[in-house]
Amino acid sequence: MMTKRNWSVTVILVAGCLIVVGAAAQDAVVQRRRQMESNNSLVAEALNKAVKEKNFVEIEDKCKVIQENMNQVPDLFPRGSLAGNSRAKPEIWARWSEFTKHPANVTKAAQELAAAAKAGDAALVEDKFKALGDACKACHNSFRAPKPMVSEEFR
Amino acid sequence: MGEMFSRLLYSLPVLLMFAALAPRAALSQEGRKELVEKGQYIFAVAGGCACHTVPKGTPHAGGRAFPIPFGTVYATNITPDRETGLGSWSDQEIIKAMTAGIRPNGEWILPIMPHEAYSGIAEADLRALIAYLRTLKPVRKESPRLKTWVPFYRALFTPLWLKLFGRHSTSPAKAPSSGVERGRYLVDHISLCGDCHTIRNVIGVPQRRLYLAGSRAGLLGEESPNITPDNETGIGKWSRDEIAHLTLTGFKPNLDNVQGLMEEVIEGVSVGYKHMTRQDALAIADYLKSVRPIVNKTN
Repeated sequence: MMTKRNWSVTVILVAGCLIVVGAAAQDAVVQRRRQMESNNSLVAEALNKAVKEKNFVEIEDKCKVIQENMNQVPDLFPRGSLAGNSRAKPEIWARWSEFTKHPANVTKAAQELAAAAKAGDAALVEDKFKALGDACKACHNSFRAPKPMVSEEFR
Repeated sequence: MGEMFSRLLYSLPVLLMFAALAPRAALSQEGRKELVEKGQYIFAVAGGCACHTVPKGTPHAGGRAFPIPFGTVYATNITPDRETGLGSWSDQEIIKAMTAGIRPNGEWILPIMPHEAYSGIAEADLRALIAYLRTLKPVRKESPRLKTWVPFYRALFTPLWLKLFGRHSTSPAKAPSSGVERGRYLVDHISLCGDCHTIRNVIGVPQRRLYLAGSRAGLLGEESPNITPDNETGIGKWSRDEIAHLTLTGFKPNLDNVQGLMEEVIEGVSVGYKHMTRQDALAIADYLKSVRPIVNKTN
């Protein structure tokens, strides 16, 4: 039979564990948003500028950064990291192998864009840049929810 | 022989009449085609009237739910079905519904259907839009009735709301054809950017001092960003090309893409913003860059 003291200790331990797990999930979301919305966003913006200016060296450089960033994507989504203002859909973990194909597709699109830039083919660069955007969009539309909505009824 | 000749002679006026009318009939058919094409363009610039389609549902057949103060309203069927759509309505009745918010049976249309904004559409554009609506495939589908606990919501609350807060416009004789004025016309009366990007209070009144400054809970509760030219919280740092590009493709300068209702109006149901001319998208951009910048962080 548990004493009153044992009960108190158990409750405190469980609450502590929940807080730690919750904080870890929150940290994962913060880190992910920082990576996706700040780092990737700045790189993509610079890439867009380079495409407009036909700055092929810069395009190649930014494509490399995008490839490195994409390698980190699976690690940015620890199971169940849905805390706070995350827009990640739970389907990510239910369809993990499908999800992880998307960063690979973005990497491939970035490699093709870099190759077009290396060849100095401005028209191809435009096409491949569009393809890179489409690769990002494919993942967003499958696994990222629109910014919070009132209820499922209105979707 | 003589009889045949006299028959020919008698039928000559009839033949001549057909010959005279034929080009006119052909011209009228050509004019009709042009009118429908123009209407389809207006429909595209209006985001394909996406509110009237349940996502992935039957196009334009209504039934989509929208939250309103104290209840839920469902979009109506705008296909030309005679029983459940607009098929039995005259052009004038559709115009009255679209611009004054009154159905042929005298019932008020809730102002979530933007009849105030549509009252500023040029009549030629409205007529073209109606001509296009009549070419849609008729779909027999009843829309669910308004859900609310407020008694006489439609009969009393709606006209009172419109009396106190409604802002109907006067339709211009001719739609502006270019420049900032064209952009304002599209933003305020056809594409209706303010419907989502201007915050509303608890009873659904748009906060005009925060015109286009974004909302944490837009039409469907989605976050809608500040699209005034404020440098920090709005789109002040975006070029007109970048704004037009987003309007036409849904891509931001950082390669991120819009989602939710904004994506729906760009893609459209059959046609949407993506079918807008670049000139119109730039006119919208020029107008957005001309409005008062407002500091309002939405995320």
